[in-house]
Amino acid sequence: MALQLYDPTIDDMEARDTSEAQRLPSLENCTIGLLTNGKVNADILLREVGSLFEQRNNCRVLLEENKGNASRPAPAELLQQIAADVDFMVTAVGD
Amino acid sequence: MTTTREARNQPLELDDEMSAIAYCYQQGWTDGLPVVPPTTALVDEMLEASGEDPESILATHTTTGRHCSAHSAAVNSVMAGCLPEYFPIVAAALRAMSHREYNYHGSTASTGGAAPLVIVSGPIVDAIGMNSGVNTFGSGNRPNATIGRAIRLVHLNVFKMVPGVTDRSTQGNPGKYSLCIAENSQANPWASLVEESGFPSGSSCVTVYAASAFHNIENHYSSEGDGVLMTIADSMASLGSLTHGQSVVVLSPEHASIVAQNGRTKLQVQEFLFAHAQRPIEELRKVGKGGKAKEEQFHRGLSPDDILVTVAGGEAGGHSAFLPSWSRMRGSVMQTEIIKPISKD
Repeated sequence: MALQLYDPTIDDMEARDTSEAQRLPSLENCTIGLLTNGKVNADILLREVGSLFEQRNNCRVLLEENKGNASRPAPAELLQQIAADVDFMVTAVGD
Repeated sequence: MTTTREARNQPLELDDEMSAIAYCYQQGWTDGLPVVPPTTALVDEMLEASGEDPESILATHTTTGRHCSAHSAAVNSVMAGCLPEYFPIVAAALRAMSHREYNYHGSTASTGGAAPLVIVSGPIVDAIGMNSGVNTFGSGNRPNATIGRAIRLVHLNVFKMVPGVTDRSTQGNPGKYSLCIAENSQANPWASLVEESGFPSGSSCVTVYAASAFHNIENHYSSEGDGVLMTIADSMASLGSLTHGQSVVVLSPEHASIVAQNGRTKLQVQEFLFAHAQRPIEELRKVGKGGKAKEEQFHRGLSPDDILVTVAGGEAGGHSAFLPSWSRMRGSVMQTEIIKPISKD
């Protein structure tokens, strides 16, 4: 007699949307937010990236934030606050 | 073959048990060991016995937004080899891990390789035949082995914490197969974890903790509590694991008996360990560690409360265990949850 099995996984559609954010039409003259995960060297890497955007695209780094805990998602309020102030954000994971 | 909700509602059909086991391997649904095929009959029996609403959410993985329903937990528990009477512990452990402070994502994705340590305390230990004695960390006991494994399979199949993909542990941890122990109530000279929890009398509880691999602490020679505790504190303060994270210390019955001589309380044990599990900050600095710490003496944890002390193991042997937390600070905090008894209705 055939066995009937349940599937132990869940539908990917039930999980959070991880699709790409809408692309900006141009990077020129944009304001940038930097978000570090708080680990060693993440801030150094981010500042360098921010500096390259400033040199190449005439961008301006407006703020640098630390999400406070490397292993937890950034607080939603922090992301909303950054999103309200800048055109795009760069994040980096150091260690 | 799809893995949609429709597919779950229309169970898969396999010819026989061996085909089903092979199919589970092909789908990547196992931890490397064969699983019990999650037949509809076994899963439905487990859910019915538990009294849980199949659609109720037991745990949520906040980063991905994935939810683990009682149905999904039961499917994975059957695959792990659990019997229905074990399911309330699996459900309670998942609820405990879903507390934000436990930090599901970090502890399951990190290079640190945490394994979820599940500690069961209370009458359910004997009621379902858990092992709190010889070989307490394994192997050989079905509930201990399969409850911990069920948690792991949920991580793999529901939360998609897949080794090499989303689980980026540098070296892994044998506890990732299963890491579930039971408190030894007969050998424990102090209040049990469930008695300390404040849950109603007669309850059982589960404590979950994102654990790094344990240190075996051997001292067969001291008959003094200070001697045993100093040995443990020394391991807790080793350069490789000295952080401000929490600790779990599992005393063997022999060590517990020696330590509790002269009426030493559990709180005094915690205070002693906190006081002695430390070293000068210069020693950490010499190996590049210590971060921004300003204190001259760097202690394991932030206070005596950060050290959970319990008792488990065989009667003979001067072997205890120290399990450092995966978190080096408060990235994950241990959680305790009451175990809902199986409904008799």
